[in-house]
Amino acid sequence: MRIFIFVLLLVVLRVEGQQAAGFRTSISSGLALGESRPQPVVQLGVGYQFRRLYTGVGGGYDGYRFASWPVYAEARYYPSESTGFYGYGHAGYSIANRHHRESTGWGSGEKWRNGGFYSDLGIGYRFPAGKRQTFSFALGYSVKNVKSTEIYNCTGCENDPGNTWIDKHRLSRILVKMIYEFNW
Amino acid sequence: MPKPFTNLLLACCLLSIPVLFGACIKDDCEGVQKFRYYSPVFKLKSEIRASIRSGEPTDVIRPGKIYLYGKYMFLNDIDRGIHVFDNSNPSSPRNIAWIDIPGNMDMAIKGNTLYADLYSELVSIDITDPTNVKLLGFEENLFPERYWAAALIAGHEGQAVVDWTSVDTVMKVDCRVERDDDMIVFMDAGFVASSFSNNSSQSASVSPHGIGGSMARFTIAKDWLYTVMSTSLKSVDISNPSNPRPSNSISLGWGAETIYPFRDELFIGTQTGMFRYDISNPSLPVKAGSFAHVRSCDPVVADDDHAFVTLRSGNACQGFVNQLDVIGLNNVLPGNELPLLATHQMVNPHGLGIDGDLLFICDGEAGLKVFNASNVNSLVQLSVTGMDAYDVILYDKRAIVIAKDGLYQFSYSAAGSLQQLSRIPITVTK
Repeated sequence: MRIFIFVLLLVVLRVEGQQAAGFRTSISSGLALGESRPQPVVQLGVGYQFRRLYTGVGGGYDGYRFASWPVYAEARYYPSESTGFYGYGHAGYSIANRHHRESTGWGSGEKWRNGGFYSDLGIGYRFPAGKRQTFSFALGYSVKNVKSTEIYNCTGCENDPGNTWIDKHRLSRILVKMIYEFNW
Repeated sequence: MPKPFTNLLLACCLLSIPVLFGACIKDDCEGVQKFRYYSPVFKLKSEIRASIRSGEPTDVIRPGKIYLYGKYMFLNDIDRGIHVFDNSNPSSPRNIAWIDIPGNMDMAIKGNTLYADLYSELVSIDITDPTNVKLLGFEENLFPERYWAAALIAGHEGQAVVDWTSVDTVMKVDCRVERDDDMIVFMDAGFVASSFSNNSSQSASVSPHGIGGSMARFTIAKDWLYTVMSTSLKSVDISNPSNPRPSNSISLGWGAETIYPFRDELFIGTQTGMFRYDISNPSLPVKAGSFAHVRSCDPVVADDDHAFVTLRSGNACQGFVNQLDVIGLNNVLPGNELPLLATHQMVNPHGLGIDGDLLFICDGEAGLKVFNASNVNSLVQLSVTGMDAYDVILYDKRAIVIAKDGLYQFSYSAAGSLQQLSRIPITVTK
């Protein structure tokens, strides 16, 4: 709730600015809020802005539920070339490859995760912090897919295929991010 | 439109995102579990008894203990029955018959009578002609511990599980909450069988008794059958083969696993120690010594001066040691304890056998090892073979070895060198 109030204040205290076209780098950090415990999100993106459209690529860390590393293509549309609201979208793949084995006298187990589709769709509000830098706050609806596989075999059950669980997780959450951007 | 109003409108849009998407913000999961579902096949006791007969030779599915008798080799197929091999020519043994004994794990032979467990019962079978065996008699409830392994399930009293059918199954499961990282192990029929009857046989007695292995739970001395089943040593008078009569039951504590006869003594391996029993009075064995060790599985063999005990870890054995202990038999310490003379590290030792100075040890995946044990403090390894061996019987300068991939026969020399004579392949098919 504090974050939302803070964002609201920023909107009201709008600051005018003018941003140049060109290559840009953005560094984001924030939180993923959903049914599970809030977890940090960190992203790094590079791209090019031409007039009101920005396209680029990015990647980062997403700790929500299962740690993963999303890589994505990004697009933003700025209704105004200066300070103000914008819309953005990320689409890509969330890498999750944790692999774990364990073995006891009773049996052995193996579990691993595969990533899946990743998306983030939302709006932000930016304001300048100098000629070549801006700060933004963004709020988006994000989905990441993770496939989890576990196989267990008991000792002496060589002829048994064991037990296999395959879980396909679709994790929907809100991403709240603070973004620092600068022109090259 | 005034800017403050526009900003307020946009801010409302921004804040509406959580509200609009609130119903969508959740952790969905579609989970499936794949497993093999086993269903027991029940039979009435009367049907099981009636089904004990010789049949056509069949493939070995889950090899258990081996037993030598005359020109025949008997190989237990865990919980199913016994394969009979004509071993007249050790270079080319022939699978000649199958004796269907559900729930069977152990056996012993005297004269022409085979004694075998059938779940909780002792069954005696005339094997004069192994291709046409005849049922002699039963002794009920001699091994009550076996009920759990072969299951008397509510609603199926008086029946036993004789087989399992299996279906590969895929089931939807709730996976919204992540499973615990701890190991989950599901027991199935195969596990139960393998945990409690891994292996096979070993040496030392003479005809008319057969020869069992160091992993055996049954042995015969004179007119008596001795069995160990987890907590007790039982003696059964088999002077009348068709009417075995249980005599005494001696409590051994917990974890008794193997029994080995030598002269007028029995050596019993348990998970916490080795016991020596005097059977001068065969109906009533008397404890003559013991040796305590850390928890592990421990088959034992003996000669005049020493008992050789292998300790291993893994499976139901738990424990963490893998070694050979040599125990002196000529001195008894206070408290009837037998002295430890030497310890030798091994890889994962199972069954063993002794012939004079030659000590054979099935060291799991490290193979069958032959040692010169003339000096028990300094064993000299003479040879090793590369199979995953778990028990050995020594007879007539031949080593019969049950291993994961087959039943091997070797001839061996006084120098401990091994020459393979034959191998009956075992392909686990179930």
